[in-house]
Order: sequence, then structure tokens, then C-alpha cells
Amino acid sequence: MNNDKRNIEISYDGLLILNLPKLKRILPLYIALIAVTTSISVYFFDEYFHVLFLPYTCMVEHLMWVFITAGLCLFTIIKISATPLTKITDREQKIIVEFMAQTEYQKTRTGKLSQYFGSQLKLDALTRAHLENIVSETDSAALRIITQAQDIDLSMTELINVLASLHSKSEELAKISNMTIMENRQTIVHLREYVDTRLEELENDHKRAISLSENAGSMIKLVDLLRDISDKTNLLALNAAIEAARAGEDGRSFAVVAAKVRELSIQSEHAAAQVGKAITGMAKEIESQFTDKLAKQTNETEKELLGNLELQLVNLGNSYEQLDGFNRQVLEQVEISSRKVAQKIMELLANIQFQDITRQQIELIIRCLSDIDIYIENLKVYVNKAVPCDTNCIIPDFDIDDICKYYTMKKQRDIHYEATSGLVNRELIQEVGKTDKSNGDDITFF
Amino acid sequence: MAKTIMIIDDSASIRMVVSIALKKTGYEVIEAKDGKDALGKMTGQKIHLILCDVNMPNMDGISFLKSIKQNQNYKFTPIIMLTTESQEAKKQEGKAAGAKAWVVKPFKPEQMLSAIEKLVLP
Repeated sequence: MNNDKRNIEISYDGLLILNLPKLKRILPLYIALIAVTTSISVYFFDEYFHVLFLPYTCMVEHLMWVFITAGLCLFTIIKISATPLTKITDREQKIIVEFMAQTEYQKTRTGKLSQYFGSQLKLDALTRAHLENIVSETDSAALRIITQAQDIDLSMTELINVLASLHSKSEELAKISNMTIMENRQTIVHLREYVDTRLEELENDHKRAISLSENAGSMIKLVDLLRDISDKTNLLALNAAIEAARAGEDGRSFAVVAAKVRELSIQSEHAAAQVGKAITGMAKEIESQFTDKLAKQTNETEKELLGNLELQLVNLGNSYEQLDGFNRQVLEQVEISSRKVAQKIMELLANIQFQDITRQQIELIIRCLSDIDIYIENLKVYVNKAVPCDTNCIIPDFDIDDICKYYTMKKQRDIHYEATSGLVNRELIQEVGKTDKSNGDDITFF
Repeated sequence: MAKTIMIIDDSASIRMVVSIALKKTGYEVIEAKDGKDALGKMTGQKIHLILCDVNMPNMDGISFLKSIKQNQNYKFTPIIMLTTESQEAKKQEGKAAGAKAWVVKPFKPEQMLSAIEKLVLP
């Protein structure tokens, strides 16, 4: 800074400064004045000077008169339009200082500043390009996400419809299965009744067979009785034959009868033996025929088999009911999950709004960069302008609050307030904030 | 017959999101990217409700609102403004122009659908 001051300390003594704007204004008038003055001089004094001084040619004379007159006029012009430096105004002195301040350092600094401005403009342009690219790419990405989410949503809707259809079919199957299970249970009840009836019948058969066997046994006694009677008849016939022999000729016919009785007695004994044998055989046959059927163990086995069959049918029914229950649970769970996924997809789609919000925020930054660029362009012009930076020159400062006019969101205003707190016009921000109570995500009905 | 709703927004992603939510609910949807595009697509067919953004290129939401209120076919069509703009002054501007509701983004689809159900023409 000290060097700069030394460089711009100058002496004004003996220096004149031309007021060029003033000179420009009066120059046509003075040219006209020179022309008129020269003409008058030539017209009135030409012959007198010609005689008195030099016998020059006409052309040279005229030129001489032109130069003389022009010299006089130029002197007058300088006298009118030029001012000694010692008498110039403060503003003019500042102009001189401004010119004199174009030192090497100042030029370097100005050059650097211009270079910085240029770089900053390029950087802003680059930032804008990157941001625009981000907007474009996030926009494309958001559209891709929406398309994919929509595809998933369609698949989920399809899945839900299929599940609903399956659920409906499952309900129908369950109804049919319940009916089948009920029928199975009834069949088992009937079967059990049949088994019980059959077992009861077998028990009765068993009793009847035992009774029959016993009856057969009692018939054997009758056969024994017949045999005994036959033996006694035979003995009686033998006694009758002995007595007939004793009676001689008179007893001959009686002897024949006794012989016949004896013969009948033998036949009767023989028949009784045969009947006894047949009855015994029949009783044995009955016993043999019912042995298997009458066996208690066999009945228990059948009962057990029927019990097993019943158990298996019940288990089958229960298993089917369980399977149906699991199937329903799975369907319900998948349906609930599918609806949750569909809901999440809608939330995902709703969240994509933030891409639009981010886009608007980035566009706000791009606008701010454009405003800064305009400001930098103005600075660049004034840095390189060789005029003093007085009231006509000083450009207004960059007003950070001016960005507020671009804000559309409460969040943007809040961020602005937070970021610029203490540096800017708080009243303006607060005033804006007063009319913005929104927290987002709200609906106002008019 | 399904009711028709028009969505006007310069953001393609917002248009798609709203469109999906509306179609899932059973509405038919017409999409427009700004007010001018929307006016071009309103060719006399019945529109039961309009969802409109505020800040858009070519023709912004408030200008569209004013324009539609001059149209005999659609002057009674309810309009819901769908925007990030949350300033009370803007809301009042929308109300004065004839909007029926003001929904601030980001919104929940179910809230938007609830507002639509309240206002949609029979």
C-alpha cells in the first residue's frame, strides 16, 4: 500500500489539463471561426502584406495566413478549454490520480482480478453445467425408478389377484374337504355300528353253536339209552327163547317171535350205534365249523383293524384340516405381505417427489449463479474502466437477500435465515417467515 | 364410467407418481407439462378435477387458473394447486384466482386422494 501511495504522489506545477469533452463541444465552432477569420484576413490584408513584406506566390501567402490564424485560434482554444493542474477540481485531481495509479503492481492486480473474474465466470458456467447434468440424470433416474416401481406394483397387483383367486378356490376346497371329513366320520360311525352288530351276531352264533353241541351231547345219551333198551330187549328175547324151548312144541311160535325180537334188538342196537356216531360227527363238525369264527382273538383282531381304519381316517381328516389351515395361513400371510409391499411401493413413489424438490433447489442455485455472474460481469467492467469509482461508478453491492424472491419453500427460507443469520437483513427474513407457517405435507381447503 | 382428472406439472416424475396413484384408484388421467399445454389438451371433454402446479414454464399455475375461469366449459371444474410453494400470500393469490385447495409438496398420496374425493365433480 505504501508503495502505491508513493507511486501516485505527483506534482501539478506547470501542468495543464485539457478538458476534452469541452474541447469536443467547441471544436466545430472554432474551426468555423478559423475559416471565417482566415477568409477575412486574406480578403482585407492580402494586398497590404503583399506589398509590404514578401512577393510570395498566392498559395504560400494563403497558407501563411491560414497558419497564423490557426495558431491564434489554437492558442485561444487552449486558453479556454485547458486548465492548469493546480486549478483543477478535486474530482479532476482524482482522475489524474486514477491515471497515475496505473502502476505495474496495480496493473498486475487488476489483471489478476480480471483473470479471477473470468475464472469465476467459467467456474460458474461449469458448476451450472454440472448441476444441470445432475438435474437431468436424477430426473431420468427418477423416471426409471417410477417405471420399475410401477412394474413391481403391477406384478404385486397380479399376485394379489391370483392369491385372492387361490383363496377363493381354497375356501371351496375346504368346504368340500369338510364335507368329505364329515362323511368319513359318519361312515366310521356306521362301520363301528356294523362291526359291533357283527361282533354281537358272532357272539350269539357262538352261544348257539355251544348250545347245539350241548344238545348233540344230550342226544348221545338218548342213543346210549336206546342201546341199553336194545340190550335189555335182546336179553329179554334170549330169556323168551329159553322159555319157548322149555315149552316145547307149544312154545315154538313164541320162540320165533323171541328170535325176531332178538333180531330187532340187535338191529336197534346197531341203528342206535349209527345214530350216536352220526350225532357225534355232527357235533364235532359244528364245533369245527365255528372254531375260527368263535375264537375271541379273531374278533379282537377284527375290532382292532376296524379301530385302526377309523383312526387312520380320522388322522387323514385331521391332517387335511391342518394342511388346509396351513395353506390358508400361507395364503393370508402372502396376501398381507403383498399388500404391505404394494403400500411400500406407493410410499416409494411418493418419496420420488423429493427428486422434484431437489431439482427445484438445484435450479435455485443455478439462478443464484446467474445473478452472481451478472454482478461479476459488472465488476469486471468497472475494474478495467479508467474512471474514478465515484457515485456514477460504484455498482451496488450484491444483495444476498435478493435471492429470497426465488424461494418457493419454507425450507429454503429457513436455510437462508440460518446461513445468513447475523449477516443480513433479519427483519426481511422474519417478515417473510411470518407468512410462512407451513411445515410441508399440508392441505388447505378454500 | 371412470372420472377424468388432469394433472399439470412440469416435472415428469411428479406427473407419473400422481398418475399411478390416480389410476390405481380408478380415475382416468390426462397429463400436461404446463398451463399452455393443458389448455391445448382441454378440447371440450368432461374433466372432473384439475391438479395444477404453481411454478411452471410457459404458463404458470395462477395464470392457468385465471384463464380457465374464463372458459365456459371448465369454469366450474374444481382445481387443486399442487406445489412446493407454501407462502400464505401465494395461497391467497391462488384462492382469489379460484383454487379450491392448496396441497404442499411433498404430499402423501392418500391425503391427495382424500382431497380429490372431497372436491371431484359428481
